[in-house]
Amino acid sequence: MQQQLIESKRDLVVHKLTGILLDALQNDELEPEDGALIAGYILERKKQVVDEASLNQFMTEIAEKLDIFRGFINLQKEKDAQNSLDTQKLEDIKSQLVGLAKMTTN
Amino acid sequence: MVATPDVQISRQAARGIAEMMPRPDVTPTMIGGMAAGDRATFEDARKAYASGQVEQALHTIAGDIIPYSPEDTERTIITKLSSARSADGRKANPTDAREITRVNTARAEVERVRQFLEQGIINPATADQLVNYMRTNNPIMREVLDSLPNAGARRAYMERYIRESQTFKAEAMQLFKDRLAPGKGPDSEADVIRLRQQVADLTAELAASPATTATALTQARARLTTTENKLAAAASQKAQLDQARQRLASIQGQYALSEQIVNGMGTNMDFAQVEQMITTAQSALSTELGAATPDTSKITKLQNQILNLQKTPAFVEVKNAQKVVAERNGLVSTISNLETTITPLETDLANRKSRVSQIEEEMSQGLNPKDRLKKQSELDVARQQLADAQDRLDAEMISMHRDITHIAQDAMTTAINGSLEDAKGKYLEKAREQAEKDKTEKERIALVAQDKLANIWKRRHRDYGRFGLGRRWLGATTLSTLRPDLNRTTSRMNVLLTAGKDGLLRNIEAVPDTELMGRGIGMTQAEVTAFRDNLKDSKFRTDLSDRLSGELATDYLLSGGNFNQGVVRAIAGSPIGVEFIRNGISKAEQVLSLYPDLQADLAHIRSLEGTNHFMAELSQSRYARIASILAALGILAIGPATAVHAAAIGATTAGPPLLKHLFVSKLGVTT
Repeated sequence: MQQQLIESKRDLVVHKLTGILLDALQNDELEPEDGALIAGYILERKKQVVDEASLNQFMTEIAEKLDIFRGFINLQKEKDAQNSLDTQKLEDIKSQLVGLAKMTTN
Repeated sequence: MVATPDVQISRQAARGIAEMMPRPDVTPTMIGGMAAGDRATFEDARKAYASGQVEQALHTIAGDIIPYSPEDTERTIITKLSSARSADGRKANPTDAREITRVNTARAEVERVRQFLEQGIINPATADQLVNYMRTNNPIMREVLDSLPNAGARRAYMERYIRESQTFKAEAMQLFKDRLAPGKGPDSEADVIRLRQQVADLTAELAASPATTATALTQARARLTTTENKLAAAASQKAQLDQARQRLASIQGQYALSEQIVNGMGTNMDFAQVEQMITTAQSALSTELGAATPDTSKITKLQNQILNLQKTPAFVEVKNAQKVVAERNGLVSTISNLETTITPLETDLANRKSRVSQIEEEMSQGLNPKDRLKKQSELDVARQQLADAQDRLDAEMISMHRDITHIAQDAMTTAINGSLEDAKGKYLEKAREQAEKDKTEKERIALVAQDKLANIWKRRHRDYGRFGLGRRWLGATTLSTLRPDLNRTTSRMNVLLTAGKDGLLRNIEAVPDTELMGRGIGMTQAEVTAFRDNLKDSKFRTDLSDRLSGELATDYLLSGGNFNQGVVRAIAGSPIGVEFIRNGISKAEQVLSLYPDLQADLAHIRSLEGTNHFMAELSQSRYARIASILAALGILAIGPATAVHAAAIGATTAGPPLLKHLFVSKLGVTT
């Protein structure tokens, strides 16, 4: 389940990156040779993403190496941070409710 | 282990590296700011992306997939290499024998390259072609290939080289995309079509208005007169003929009836009876006239009877009819006889009269002689231009055919050239990096001056293009470049090895300003001043001497400098040489690890690094081979050393066995 989640997250990121790459090529922000290198790099690095940590590592590397992806990666990271914050909050509320329920039962 | 005496650079080989065939200049067709090949790749990637095939899109951008289908490339081949057209005007399969051959070879070659790029399958024919091409065009490769025992081994070697070289594949893919991009055919084709039309128009115009000169009219008139004279000479016959024709026309009305009467004579009872009576009377008359005593009255009576019978209407009618038929037949015969002479003359006369009239009409209505001459001259020029355009078209098609069928050869040439350029480029890169750090204009100028200092050991070389000197007289453009000169690099290498890096710099510093600003070196006054000022800075001196010594050593190798035992000894016996060898040691392990016979030597040399014995040991002839390899590696493998760098080094030092290995191995040695 966790693995599937990582894979779909990875595929979503790669999908976005490919879109950005195509736009950059179309707008002449990238030379085709550079585009080819970047595409090859993404394909190669994609294989190494196996868990949350390696996905983060991948995103960090991409953002560091290539300006065109930086905006998207930062945004994605912010979103992830927000999601994990929300999850944390939900967990807190849940545990509070459980605690409350226990107290009420007692 | 036995020392290898006098291992040396093959000058031919080194020159081969330095003067490798230039990459053929093929300008890709541009579509919307991208080369057509790149545009096709982009469109394919976009399509794949839009249909959710992200990985496919990335592979396409990465250049792993050819953006043209076999049908696309087939169309491109026909567009570029065939001049035939179908009924609807589109390019079609060629009909010309040479074009058929070109199209077929191009198809086969494109299929082979596609197979390699898409499936990694190397066709033996491609490998063989590359073997032949490299043996002809690349001295180092020739040495390597010739050292292999047979054609099978050469093919296997080439297949392995192709498979392992990423540069080759990337270059082949790029060339495939550029050269097989769908687009226009040869430029000269439009000229050929236009000129063909022009020639056809002019030819038709001149044919519709044939030559009507005064001479032609005079000749026609003379011919007419001749015929008229002949006819005059036959005037009496002509009169007879006319008369006979006239008479025939006048009796033609009676003839039909007369013929009918004559034909029905046998069944005409009245006539038969009268004729019988006349015969009887004439018989009686003959008897009477033959009698001894003729009876005059009887004779008279018989004569009157005959006369009366002959006046009988039935008899008279038949006799007249017989006369008419006889006359008519006589006339037909006469006319026929006369016509054999007169009719040809009359026909001739009519034709010649008509010809004279025609010429007179043409002279009044058609092109006058001046206009006609002008048109004829235009036609001649158009024909010449058409022939030239056809030659150009042929040349263009041959060139396009060459481009399509030499993708593998050109990719291989570029792969080899590019890797060697990297080695020298590293020095320049360092200088550029330095230039970015330096702020002042003066320092910048001084750095520009540095670039020109290496010209001291170079010589101006004029390149007359691939067809050699002969082209010069045909107006071919020439290119003047500066190339490392063996004598000059050798002389500076002596300075470098004996006096070290700073010694080399001092030697160059001593070159007078006028010489620095001369044609060979080409520094400006500002650059000379900045260069001299900056020499006072010790860091500048160190950087510059480092750079110059590295560049000099590289140029020494590239200009064909020997690496024989004496030179190796000199290198091993000098601090700068030892520095090269130390550089080499750090980069050479992967190469040398594959040569067990050199392992012990390498280990020994390494064990002495940092000791006082290091230089002394290197100078021994026993270690000449390894020292030369290490020094060459140290000089050339400044950046990532590729197989070809190493091959160049191998060619200069260790001979075929190492060379062979170096070519087939992918070294991946990095700084």
